[in-house]
Parts: sequence; C-alpha cells; structure tokens
Amino acid sequence: MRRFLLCLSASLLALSLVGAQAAPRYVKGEGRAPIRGKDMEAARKAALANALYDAAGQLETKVRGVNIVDKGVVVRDESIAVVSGTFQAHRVLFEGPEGGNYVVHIEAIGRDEGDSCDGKRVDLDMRAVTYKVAPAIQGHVQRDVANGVTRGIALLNDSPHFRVSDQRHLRPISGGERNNRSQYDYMAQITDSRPAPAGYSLSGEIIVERARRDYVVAEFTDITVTLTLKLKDNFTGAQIGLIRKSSKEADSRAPFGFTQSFRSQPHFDMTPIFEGVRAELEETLACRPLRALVQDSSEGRVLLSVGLEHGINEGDYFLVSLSNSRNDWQVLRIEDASPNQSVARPMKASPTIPVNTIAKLMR
Amino acid sequence: MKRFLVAALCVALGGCAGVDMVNGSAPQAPLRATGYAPLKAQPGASPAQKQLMAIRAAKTAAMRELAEKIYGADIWAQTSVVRGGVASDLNRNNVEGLVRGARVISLQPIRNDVYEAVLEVDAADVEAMRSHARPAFR
Repeated sequence: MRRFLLCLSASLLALSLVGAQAAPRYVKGEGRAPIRGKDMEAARKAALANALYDAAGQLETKVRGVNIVDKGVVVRDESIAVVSGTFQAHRVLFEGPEGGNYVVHIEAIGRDEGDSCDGKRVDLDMRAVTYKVAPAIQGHVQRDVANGVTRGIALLNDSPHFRVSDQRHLRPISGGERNNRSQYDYMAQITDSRPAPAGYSLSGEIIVERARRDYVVAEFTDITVTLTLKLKDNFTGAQIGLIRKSSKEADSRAPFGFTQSFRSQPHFDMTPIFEGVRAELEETLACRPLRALVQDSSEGRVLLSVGLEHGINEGDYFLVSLSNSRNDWQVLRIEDASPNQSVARPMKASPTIPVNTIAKLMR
Repeated sequence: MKRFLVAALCVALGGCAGVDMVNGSAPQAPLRATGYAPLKAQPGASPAQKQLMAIRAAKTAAMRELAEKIYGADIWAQTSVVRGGVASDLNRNNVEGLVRGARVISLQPIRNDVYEAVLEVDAADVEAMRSHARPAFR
C-alpha cells in the first residue's frame, strides 16, 4: 500500500513537472499616439511602440489587483499589468494619421512559453532495430523477443500523442533525410510504402543475455532483455532522447546442467519494456509542436503532410520560416483536411513557399 | 507513515477538487471579461492623450477580471462588532495571475466620459493556464 501511494505521489509530481515546449503564436496589435504639433515621426514611433505593447500583451501579461472596501467605501483599488513577450518577427500592416492620432497596425509571430500539449499527434517511425543474442539462448526466447517487438509497436500506436509506423526495414536516421528523396522513392518501389516525412524516429538494439541471479555455484539464472532506442529528429538528425529499458525472467536452466524448474520453455514478455518506452516517449513528445512538410505549393494553395489523423482541423494555423531574415515568414490557414494530408492557404501574398519546407503548428 | 501518506494524498486531491469547484468545469466557449475606465481620471496634457490612457486603463481592468475568472480571487474580510454596532468592516480582494492569449474584442466609449474594453481568451488557453500556472497566493 505504501509503495503504491509513493508511486502515485511520484507520478502526480512527475506529471506536474513535465517539460513544456514553446509553440509560436500569431498575434495582431494596434497602436495609437497623439500627433503633437507637426512631429509625425515621434507620433509614429510612439504608435509603433504601443502596437508592439498591444501584441506582446496577448502573449503574456502578469496581472495583480487589490481592492479594499472599508465600511462599504472603496479605499483602495489598484491593478497592475506587466507585459512581457518575445517576437520572432513582426510586420507593419497599416500606418498613417487618423484624426489627431497616428495609427499603426502590426502582425507578429510571438514566442509563447506556454505548452502545446493540445491533442495533436506527431509521426514516429520505428526504424532498424538490431538483435544481439548471447550464445545458448533458446530459439523460442529469440522468437518471443522478436514477436514482442511487433506487439510493442502496436502498443506504442495506442498513444494519443504520436502515430507510429513500422519502418524497421529502413536504416536509422542520419540527418537531413527529407532531402534524400531518391532513397524514399527507391524504398517506396520495393516496399510499397513511403516513410512519414515529418516527425521523429526510433532506432536501436536489443540485447538478449543470460545472467546468474547470484554467485552461488548452482543457482537459478535469468534471461535479461535490454532494449536501447535512440529518439531522433527526422529533419535534423539530432538525437533528442535515449531510452533504455530492461526486463528479466527466470530461465528454466541453470549452470552446469542442473534443471531447477519444471517449466521446460521459459517465455519472455516484452510488454513491460514497451509500456516503459511508451511512457517515456509520451513525456518527451507530447508537448512538442507538430511539424509538417510542404509537399506541394501552387496557385495559392499549399499541401501539407499532416491531416485529420494528426489532430489537424480546418482553421488551424501553421508558421513557415523561410530563411534567416526576420520578416521572411508566411502563415498558413488549413482549409481542408484529409486523413494524412491537408490543404492550406497562405495568409499573405508573399513570400511563396517552396516544396519541402517545414511548417510548424501555431497556437 | 501509511496514515501520513493517505492523509497527504487526500489533502492533495481535495485541494484539486476545491480548485475545480472554484473554476468550474472545463469551459467550451471562450472566456470574456469587460473593463471600464473614466476619461476624467486619466493623466495627460491633451484630450487625445487622456483618451489613450483611458483605453489602456480599461484594458488593464478587463485583464484583471480575466485573471480573476481564470484563477479565482483571494478574499480576506474582517468585521468587528462592538456593543451591537459595527466598529470596523474591512474587505480585501486580491487577484494575481498570468494571462496568455488575451485578445481585444471591442474597445469603445460607452458614454462621453467612460471607455469600455472587452477581452477574450480561448477555452483551450484557459485550461492550459489553469493547469500549469497557479497564482502565487494559492
């Protein structure tokens, strides 16, 4: 009971401390400033500052208010608002004098420090998994482990945070693979499947070995299976996580040929290992902003590689950053979504979006 | 030890239940708040500047109401009665919180001398703020 309560408390604490990933937020701001005399330039600067303040206020505002009433009379009424925010880029949409004021309208991409655990599913490829089996491990144990991996992939696929595709025939991600289209085309011809272009991948190895349970000469032994998986970003090839899970089960055989058990064929269950993998993946991937690959771009329509199965709906917004320039960005609005793809419309006339660009889901 | 853990868990879960009762169930519609500011009370050399300050004040008041709706308010009140009569009656209302994603819905003068600001936050943002950013006084 105590152990259960400790585990429950630790789980609640862990859930509350799960790291959050920042997702961009598209905001619009309006600023006004009175024109004093004929000093238009000063009014413009003040109006622009006010517009940025207005936009930043939509990202994050700390509010504190105190209200004191003494015998039915308000003796103190104070509100303090502290605005803070960081913009990746901003652009003036309109500016000019209006009445006695100078008015500036801007649009901006803000860095929102809030989490983005919003029910979207990222793509996850299960890539090559190699086996290392110690000598004299029974064949049926090896089969159990191999079958357990296939069942484990199905278990991972039950997660609401990612969508797993079995791509074990492909080698591990090494970086920049989204440009390596020839390999994808070649594999598509052979396997009749194309790897998910966006998201993350898992690859690694399984070690199956026998270990003595203690140092007594004739004692039971265990079969130990250790699964080590590298979690990599498909776009950059960067490793973003290392998952290592191990499990052991009693072997029926003992050193020096003693038979200690009536069970002639020990079986190995991989479920606990993959349950651990799934929990760790959910912690790592759940709050990462969803990314999509631009698969086609023509006539004011952009085809993205994510759809309904990723949790994308009509009206969602994506941000495309085109180069290192601060203002070279485009916002896409989803107009139609099919299970695995969606059609979006650019919100600005320029710049145009080239194929193979990455779009990031906005809040 | 076991009793302590059970008690701690009950307190923790009870605390969560209390917060839910204060905040209500998950809202589906966006959360709206309105703030007002009188033009006369604003600083400024010209009427245009007073007008801008009134807009700023109305937005701050609306933001405060949003924070109150999202996180709740901390109320402290004290009434003392001496010989059957109220000697002192003090009521303090504290609001504190971090508001993300608030956008302006309307901003207009409702009379000649009062500005009104209406702000709105999406339901998903409200849920995220409630679950991740507890105000300091809780």
